[in-house]
Amino acid sequence: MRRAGLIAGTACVGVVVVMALVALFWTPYDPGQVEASQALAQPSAAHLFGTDGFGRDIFSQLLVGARICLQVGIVSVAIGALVGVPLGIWAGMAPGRIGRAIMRVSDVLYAFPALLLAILLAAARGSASTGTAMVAIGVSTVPAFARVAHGATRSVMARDYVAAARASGIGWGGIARTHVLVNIAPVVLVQTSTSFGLAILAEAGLSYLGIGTAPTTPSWGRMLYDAQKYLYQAPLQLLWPGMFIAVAVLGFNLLGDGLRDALDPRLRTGRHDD
Amino acid sequence: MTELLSVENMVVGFEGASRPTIGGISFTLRAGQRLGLIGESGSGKSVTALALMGLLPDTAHLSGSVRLAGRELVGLGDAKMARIRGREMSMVFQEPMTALDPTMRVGRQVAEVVRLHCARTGSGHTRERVCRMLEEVGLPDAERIADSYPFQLSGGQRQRVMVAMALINRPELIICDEPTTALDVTVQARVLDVLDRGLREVGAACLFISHDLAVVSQICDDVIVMYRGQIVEAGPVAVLLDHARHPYTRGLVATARLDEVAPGARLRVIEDFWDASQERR
Repeated sequence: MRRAGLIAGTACVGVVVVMALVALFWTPYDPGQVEASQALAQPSAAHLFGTDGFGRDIFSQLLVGARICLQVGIVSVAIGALVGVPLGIWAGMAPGRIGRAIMRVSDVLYAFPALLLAILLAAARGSASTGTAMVAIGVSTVPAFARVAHGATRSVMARDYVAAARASGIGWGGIARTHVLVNIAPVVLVQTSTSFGLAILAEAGLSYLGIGTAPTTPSWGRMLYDAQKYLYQAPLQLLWPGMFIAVAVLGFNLLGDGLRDALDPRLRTGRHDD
Repeated sequence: MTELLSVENMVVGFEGASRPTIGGISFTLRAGQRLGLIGESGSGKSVTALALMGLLPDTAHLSGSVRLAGRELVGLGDAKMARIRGREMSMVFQEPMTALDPTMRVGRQVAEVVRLHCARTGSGHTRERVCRMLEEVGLPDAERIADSYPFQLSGGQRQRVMVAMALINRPELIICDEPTTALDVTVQARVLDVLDRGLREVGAACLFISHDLAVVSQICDDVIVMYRGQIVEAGPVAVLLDHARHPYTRGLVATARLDEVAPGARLRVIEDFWDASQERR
């Protein structure tokens, strides 16, 4: 039964990934192609999910939106992990003043919402773009990664095998690479999956507010924003992007929880080995 | 014989502790000599081992002098110390179940020690050396063992791997911190035998920490007795066991002789010989 979440999560993520891959090679229409005569068309064989207020094919936009959403997720989570994990390991291996300083700075950053950061960045750059959204979301996930890596590193550093490795002459760098990184990988992986879901949600939110992706880029959040103008004429329009945002976020969260259960050796064997 | 290790007035204190954990101990170890270090829990045995290896936590303060082959180790930088560890002196830990990284094949863990200290050895050559070493410590199925993860091995097998890791660079000094305490008696005897042969073959000196007098008398030539961070008595094993001068040592020896206690009689405890409250400051 514990596997059910993992399977459901993988399926949801799989749907989004397949959509993004398909969009790389094929979409039924050009997602940006405006056709006023076709505006607000009902779902039909020609337009699977209908068209929006400009007569753009919703299905094509959804496909491309999946790609944008994965792209934002991958880049921002990569920023968060590549900056946060080394900082967390560093702080965990140097528990004195340096470690405390790193974690306090990260706590301050934690208190800073991604939304505010994105507005600041967009204002500073003069325009909103997918790039600023990715950087803003990435920077705001750094503290979460740092915190998770820090805690896991502290626990690894207390293990006998680290003392044994030091006794055989391995330096700090070697221990970080060969012992710490491998042993904290499971928790970092879980954090990656959860952060991915949050990043997608944040991107949708930013785009909905108009400070995420540029207007011409079809993103699920922007589609929501466009659709709310036609709430009474074409309520279905609102349903599609909302549904896919929910599927993607739910998928990554279920995947993260499922991975946590599958990778935790204590849950697997039912015994405490430390 | 030349002095390999000489410890002079070594003091180890921890932040916030009122009295030092190790209160100025001195002893020497000749090349190839085997010195037992016995004492009860909390007497400072393991802290002594960590201090010699330079592995004390940041909260500890070490002073005095520790010389290995004439070289002062106290105050040596961590990078220089790391080059000495594993090559000139190595350590076998108490808990074989936790002293190996669970995510790494044991062959690679042993090979790591070789690669760290021997520049430019081919991986095939290293592998061969690792397998030969594993065979020497009584693991005949060396190829299979080297490809195993720690959880696939028994406690005795893991401790043999640890001994192999300690011996493989042929160090001059091996510190064993209760290496057989976590093992059952039959496995303990075999691991001790392996350690004994390995030490003789490599020609290494050994500081053997234990609370088990029987084990110490089997492995060591000389023994020092520690109590509350001080050395209370030192001398050759045979002399010390039969003619202990210090009442604490007499207590240790007497409490270890379970066969002299009549069935049903009360077991003797250290306090029968030694009133610890007298010494407390």
